[in-house]
Amino acid sequence: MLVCLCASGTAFAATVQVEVRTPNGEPLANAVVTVSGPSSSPIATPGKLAIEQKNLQFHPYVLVVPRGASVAFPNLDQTRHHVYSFSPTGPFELKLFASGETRSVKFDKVGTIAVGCNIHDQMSAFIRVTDAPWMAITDANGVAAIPDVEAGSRVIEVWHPLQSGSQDASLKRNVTVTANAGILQSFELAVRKPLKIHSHY
Amino acid sequence: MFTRLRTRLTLFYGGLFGLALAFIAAFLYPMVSAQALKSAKGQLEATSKAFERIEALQTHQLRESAGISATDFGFRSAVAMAEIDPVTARTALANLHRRIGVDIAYLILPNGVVVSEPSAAELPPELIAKLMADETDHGALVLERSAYRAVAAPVLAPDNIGWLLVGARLDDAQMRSLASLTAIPIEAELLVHRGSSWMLTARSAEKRVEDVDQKARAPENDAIIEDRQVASMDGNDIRLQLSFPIAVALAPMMSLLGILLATGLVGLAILGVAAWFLARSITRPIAVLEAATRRIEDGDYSPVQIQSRDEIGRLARGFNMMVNTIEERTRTITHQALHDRETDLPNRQHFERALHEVVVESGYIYVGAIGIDRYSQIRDAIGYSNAASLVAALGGRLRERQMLAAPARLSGDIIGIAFVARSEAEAVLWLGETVTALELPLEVGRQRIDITAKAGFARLSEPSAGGQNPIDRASIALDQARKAHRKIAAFDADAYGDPVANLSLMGDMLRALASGSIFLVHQPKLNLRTGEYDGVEALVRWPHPERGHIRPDIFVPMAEETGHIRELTEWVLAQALKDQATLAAAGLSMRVSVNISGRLLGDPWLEQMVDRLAGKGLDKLCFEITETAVMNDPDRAMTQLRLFAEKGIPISIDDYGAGLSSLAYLKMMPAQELKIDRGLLAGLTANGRDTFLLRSTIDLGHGLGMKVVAEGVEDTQALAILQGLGCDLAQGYLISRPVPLPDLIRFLKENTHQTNHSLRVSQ
Repeated sequence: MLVCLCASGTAFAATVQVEVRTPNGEPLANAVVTVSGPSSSPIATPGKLAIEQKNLQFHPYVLVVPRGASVAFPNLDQTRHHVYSFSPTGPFELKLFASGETRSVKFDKVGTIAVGCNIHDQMSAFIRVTDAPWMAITDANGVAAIPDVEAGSRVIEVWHPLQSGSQDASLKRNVTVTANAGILQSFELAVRKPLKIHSHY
Repeated sequence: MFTRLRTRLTLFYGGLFGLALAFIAAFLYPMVSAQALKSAKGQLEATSKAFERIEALQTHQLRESAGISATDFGFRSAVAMAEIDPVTARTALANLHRRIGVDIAYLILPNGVVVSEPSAAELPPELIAKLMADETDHGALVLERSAYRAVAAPVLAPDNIGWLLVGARLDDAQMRSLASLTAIPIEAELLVHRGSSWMLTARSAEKRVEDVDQKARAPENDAIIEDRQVASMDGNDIRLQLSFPIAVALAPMMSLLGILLATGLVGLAILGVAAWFLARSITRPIAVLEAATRRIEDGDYSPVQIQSRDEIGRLARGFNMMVNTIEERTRTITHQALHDRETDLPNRQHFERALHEVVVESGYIYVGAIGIDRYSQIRDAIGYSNAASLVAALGGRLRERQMLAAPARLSGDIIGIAFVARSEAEAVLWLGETVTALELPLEVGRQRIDITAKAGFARLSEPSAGGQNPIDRASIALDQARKAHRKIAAFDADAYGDPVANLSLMGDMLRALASGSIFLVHQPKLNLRTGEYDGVEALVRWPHPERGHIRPDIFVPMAEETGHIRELTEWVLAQALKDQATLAAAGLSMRVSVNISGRLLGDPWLEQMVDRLAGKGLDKLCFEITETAVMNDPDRAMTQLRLFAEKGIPISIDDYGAGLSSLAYLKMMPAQELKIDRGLLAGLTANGRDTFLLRSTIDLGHGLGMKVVAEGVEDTQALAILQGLGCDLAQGYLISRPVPLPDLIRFLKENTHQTNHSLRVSQ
């Protein structure tokens, strides 16, 4: 395990850097990394809370949102989409809304929502609803850097839509974050190959 | 074993054909059966490959059906709700099941929970584990007692919220349709390995599965097996087994072999019949030839009738020609065997045969032997070939007479004839005429020849002749005629004796000499001047135990012929000396005359004999030798006689006047005594030619310085005449018969001192 200290802009806080790799050592992108624990500051979400439909794909593939957040589904394609989710955490159905329209769905439960389009099977996205105050998604290098994590005893949790085993499970690790002392945690997560979508019809 | 050519030929051809058939069958069987098996194997392999394709197609179809269903929005939403609302999920599954028409349909949730219809069998946990591990998504599957082809399609919403597993049953109908892909009736079975045995889940055969539930995989030697492992979803060992019974595979070939066998047998039968006919056509002429050769053995030379132009025909023609030649040669040989070569008259053998066939109605059959007198002289005079012509001409003359058989040449100068006569007298008469006719002069080679002939004859079947051949009897009769100087003579059995017994006579004689049963008798000689008995002539007597007295003129000539005359002479000389000694002891010293065979005269043996006995009073004997004995070899005889004379042995000339007389020899012979033959005394009267001849002879003897002895004096008149003529000694029955020694001694003692001429004689 490699631990590295990083300077942080916030007093009594530090940046937690998490690196996720597959057992083969390959960097794993799109892994959701959350750090939970008591927080004194408002929850900061990384980026917009939206999943666009563009070029018959959802963007981003994985979105992490705090509980109670509303996620927008802007349709940037020329075609209509029928966005849905059967996930018990937050089932919804946005029936055939046209190009340029944006619909929003509010998610009140913690968990995973698998999002698909009923008329375009290859379109898939996941929304992870969390209570954790700090969250991030690994980049192409499999690295997620969460700044301004308040010092204290924290739990780092790593989840990936294609992870082996249960969809609801996640890797958790207790860490102690010291003010102004950034940490780097490495996780190893086995993933399935993405399911091939038969698009011959 | 098979002595008939026909049988052998038939069997040979039939056997050859059968062998060829067997070879063809033996060659074809493995080839055809291997081909049949290979072809069946090929069919099975093709079917097996077809199964693979069917498998792929079915999998594809199932996948499509499952894929479409799994993406149905409503179905997906039901699946997503399955944990909360399992009833909806189950009914949705049942609906989908009916809609896509599969045999089984299951929904497997990511947590391993299986949603299925109530009647459905439970899925094996291994399958669920494999699905979860993403290790399988299609393949064969065994549920309870059935196998299925199954495909698992993920239910995506859009992530994997479960698997839809659908399957089509691999049932008997499938196996049947698979089996029906081939032209040959194969059997397709699906087997699942269960522990140590195999469970049959489906089969193409129209039988209930229960019957062969625990069927073991068929052994290789019963059937051709194509075994294929079927990819399974659940890890079961599932096999598709295609089989084709070898018996069925070989059945067409068997029927082919059967046809081959049947045609072969029919062919064999046809060939057998054909070979039999062919062989018969060959052997029948041969049998004809064979029969002909047997006929020839029996003397039938008729030609064989074979008209064919082939080798056998040529053989038959050659055979006939050969038979002709043989017949001709046989005829020639037979003719030569039965005819005399010089004269072409029938020979003795021919004559004998002819005699066997002669039959007469009355009278007797006679066999005659006509002998030409002096034939050898005639032959020397006119030559052999002329002599043969002469005999042939005589044969021709004889043929003119009434003959029972063709006249045959029995030997050089004897011609045999057969004729009929009522009696012996008539035979003599007839034969006399025949001989007379034969003696007519004839011309041979421009020479006129006079011949004379004599004939002997005998009855063809003479009761007393025993086993003697009539030709032999006739020939003997001819000999007897010649000896007796008679023209015609009948066979005289008594004179001839018993030839069979005569064969043993000499042996008997030698034994008699040894045993003393032969003895000497003596006939005294009366001195006509002194009235004294001056000497005796010793004569041999042989009383045979079986044949009675055997006359010397029978056994002496035989002894001369066989050489036993030596033993006889030796014995006689010895006995004469003994008897003389006995006489001397009785005071009757006198000369004993002994007859010496003419055969022995000139024989060195006689000289040795004389030398041996010289010291034993041989000079008191007298050797009586006939004049003719000297004539055979005069020089040697004379030399020997002179030798005897020198030794002091007196010589007497015996039987003088009976045969040919030579004054020249008489003059030369150193004899002291001349014995006049009894023939000169026959019919002796006081006057006449006989008396004159006798007187001359007596004077001749006296003139040559010899005493003259007369033999055969049988009456007193003869004795008186002889006395008157000056004969010195007389011998004969009038004086005394030849008597044994004791009688002689008695006789001599009684008459010794008579001095006058009134002799006491037995009248």
